[in-house]
Amino acid sequence: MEKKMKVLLVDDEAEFVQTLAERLQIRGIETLVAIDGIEALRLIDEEEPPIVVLDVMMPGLGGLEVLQRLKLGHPNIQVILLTGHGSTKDGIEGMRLGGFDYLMKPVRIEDLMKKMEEAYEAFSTSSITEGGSE
Amino acid sequence: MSQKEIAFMGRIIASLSHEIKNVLATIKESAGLMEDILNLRPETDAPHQARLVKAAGNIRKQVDRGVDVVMGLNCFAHSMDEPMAQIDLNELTAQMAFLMQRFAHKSAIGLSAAPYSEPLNIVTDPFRLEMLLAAALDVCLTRADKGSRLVIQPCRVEGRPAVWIGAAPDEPPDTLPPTVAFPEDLFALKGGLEHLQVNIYDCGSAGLHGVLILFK
Repeated sequence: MEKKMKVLLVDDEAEFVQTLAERLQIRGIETLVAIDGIEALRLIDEEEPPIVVLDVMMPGLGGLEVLQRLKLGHPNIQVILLTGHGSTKDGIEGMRLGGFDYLMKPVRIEDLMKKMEEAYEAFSTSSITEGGSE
Repeated sequence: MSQKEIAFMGRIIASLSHEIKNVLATIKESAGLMEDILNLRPETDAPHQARLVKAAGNIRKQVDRGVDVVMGLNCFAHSMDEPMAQIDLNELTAQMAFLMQRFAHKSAIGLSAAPYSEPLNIVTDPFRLEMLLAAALDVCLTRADKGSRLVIQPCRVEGRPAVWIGAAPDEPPDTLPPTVAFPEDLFALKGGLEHLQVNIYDCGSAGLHGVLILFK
């Protein structure tokens, strides 16, 4: 049986992220939820989700900082950034820091699903490459 | 208004519009979840399913409309961040067409932006340039016939970047029009024009006095 795709959703807007998680679950995706950067990093260490959907604008530990820290220990995890601003500046900076891609919030669920599939493929490829070179 | 005051206003508007967008994002996902749940069940199992799906779809559509408005507000707020910044005239004119849409609609005049074939970057005061373009659009909206269509379009005239506002199907001029300095009702800030380093030309055409704003 095909394994479920697992994704960690990180956003300080609890109602938004919980609802998004429910919608992804309906579409057969296993979801984890964190509402701050510290909780996100803990879940990443414990659960190692292949994909993280990360809000850039969070109080405390911001999205870009979470991205930098998670890439140190888990370089294969693919991160999709959700940028809230009218500007694409944060998204571009996130990609420079190793993010897979960015989407403007609010996002269409179809666009997010498509981006997650692409990210999962990138994760699978990078994991095989890493496994093969050992 | 001093630059400090402008920056303060921009900061507050940007922050509030960001919050509104978060609210809209949550409403959008909640409406989407309602649709998902309703669509999980066959029609016969859920009373009024079609009406509920339609209502949830309407919420989503209105949220998308709200998001566009808030994005416009957010971009406008960020134009107040810095007294001088590099801007792409294609982006700025598209934004101006969006910001002035309601005024055009009230005058029963169509308004759209047409991009230049390549990015046209200039360094300027973004907020004051927006004020100038809004004033120029106001003048054109006052003078245009009802039912006509205005176009705001970046261009190059004699090699220099410019913004042309005129009536479709006219196009930006290739050479500088002979009339220099648009009437004073355009922009009651002589110092403002000097600050922006622009010249303004009146390129009238049938039924409308078009405007060409040329960057020195």
